[in-house]
Amino acid sequence: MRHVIVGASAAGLNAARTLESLDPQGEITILSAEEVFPYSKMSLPYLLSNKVKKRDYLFLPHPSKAKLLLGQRVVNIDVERKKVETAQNKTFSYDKLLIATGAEPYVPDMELEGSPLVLTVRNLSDMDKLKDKLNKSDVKRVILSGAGLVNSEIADALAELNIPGTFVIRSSRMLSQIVDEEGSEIIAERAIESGMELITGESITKVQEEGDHVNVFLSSGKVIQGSCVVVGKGVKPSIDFLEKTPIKCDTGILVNEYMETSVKDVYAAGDVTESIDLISDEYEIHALWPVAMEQARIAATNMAGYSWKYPKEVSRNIVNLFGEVVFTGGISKEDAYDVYKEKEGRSYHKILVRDGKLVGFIFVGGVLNPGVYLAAMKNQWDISHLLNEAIKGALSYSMFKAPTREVVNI
Amino acid sequence: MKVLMLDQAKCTGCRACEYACSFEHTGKFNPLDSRIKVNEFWEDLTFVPSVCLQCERAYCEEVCPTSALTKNPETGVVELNKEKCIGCKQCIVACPWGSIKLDHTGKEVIKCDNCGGDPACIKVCYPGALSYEEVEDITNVKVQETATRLKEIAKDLVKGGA
Repeated sequence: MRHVIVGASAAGLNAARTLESLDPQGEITILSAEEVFPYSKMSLPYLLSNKVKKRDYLFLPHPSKAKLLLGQRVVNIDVERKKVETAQNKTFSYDKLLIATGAEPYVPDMELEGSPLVLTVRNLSDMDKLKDKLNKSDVKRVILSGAGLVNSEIADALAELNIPGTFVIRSSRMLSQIVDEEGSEIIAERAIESGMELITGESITKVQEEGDHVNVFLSSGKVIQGSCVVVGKGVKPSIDFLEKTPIKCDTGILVNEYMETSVKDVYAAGDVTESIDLISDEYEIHALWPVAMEQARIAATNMAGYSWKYPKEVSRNIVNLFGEVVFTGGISKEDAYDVYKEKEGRSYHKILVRDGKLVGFIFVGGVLNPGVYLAAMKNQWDISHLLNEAIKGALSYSMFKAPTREVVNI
Repeated sequence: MKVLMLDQAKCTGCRACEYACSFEHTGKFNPLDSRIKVNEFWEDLTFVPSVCLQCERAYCEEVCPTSALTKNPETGVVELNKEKCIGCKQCIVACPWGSIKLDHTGKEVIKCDNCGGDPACIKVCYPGALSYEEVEDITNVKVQETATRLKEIAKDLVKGGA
């Protein structure tokens, strides 16, 4: 069996690893558009803060048997002849194909896109550019357009380095996609204490280079200075090369419960896909590292001839921000179904329960076993008798697996 | 290869293992820093110790972005390399059993390492709920135990039928 994998990040490499063990006779080829050896994109903010102690640690484990080809950008897929074409004029035939091209930063303002003064955080080279700007610029402050997850992580890294930052936020608060107002407030307080500045209800209209720094014009007419602008407004799946193919896409590639696309023998996994969310029961993009890993494992298992169903995913995030662990999942930002909240000083807990089952949560500090919360939500275990433990952040796995005497005795 | 063996039926809930584990790893007696946890079910008066299962293909290992978690093929232990760890906590979310977790500060990642081959928890487990045994031996014991239980059931069935 010839397996071709397009993309060599989390999903692509984990799929290769799975195929290597399930189809040892198979021929596996991984095509990477980047010239550098595959690295962990998730760790990039940690590279900035020097938590990645050596650059080498960033590189992902080398597949043992799969052939990895760098600098091969796929431009088209001929699904009739089962061939992949690259910009480097090469074609690769496949029996089973996996698309794991990931996503790229979304820069909503066309004027800012492509400007050398405006950076995004996606590739290793982006981090090098940012470090370079910080070193060269006479103004240290970094302007962060958007206060989503990535920019919040960048701000956290800047705080570690004692570099000030300014968030320019179109909405009224930080992390508005995953945290509610009460949670946002605590995180913002911590951000401000860590040297960040928040400008809400504004957007950037123009960026102008001046000497070694940039002047940033805001919609209100205000002008602020910084070393550079980092845009963190989410990501969009990298699907441009699929235009001429019949592979069904919305924002991302739509996959079924076997991680197969609308075209037979063509699978997709990771940030490039849209799959059914367990809580909303609708197609959603879960652009998350662990989801990419799991989707890849399941897609690869099916490529190897098995038929594994993909358990519907839930969105979740765990992130270190300004000295506190922020953990969210499901429909966290909303106040829907049965809402339980507990706020004590700087810690904030919220759980959302639907028919006795967990459908969302926010923990700003104080959760002991985050994995159990995720397991409880993914498996929709009944927590109606454990609400007290759940809101305290104290759920543990065996609470759900209480041994009855029958089990002990048999 | 030796593994930590738990016998829930023997656990009295004394939690000495938690203190021993914490002391071995941190020099302090804080159950929150223990890698092993005794879950208490007071209504059933039942106690269940739980500890890392050292999975064959571990979720935590798979998801670690810097390969700080790796399975040692010789000892079977999924080891955490602190030097490589960036503290992103993806591993603790990935583990459905909560066996890789945060310490009392809520910031450091900790997991069972079998104390490098000499587990502290088993030394204080007087009821014998915890032991450290060769995998082969455990298999034999389990086969025998199961057979014994089934024998009792078979006997009951015969009596019931008679």
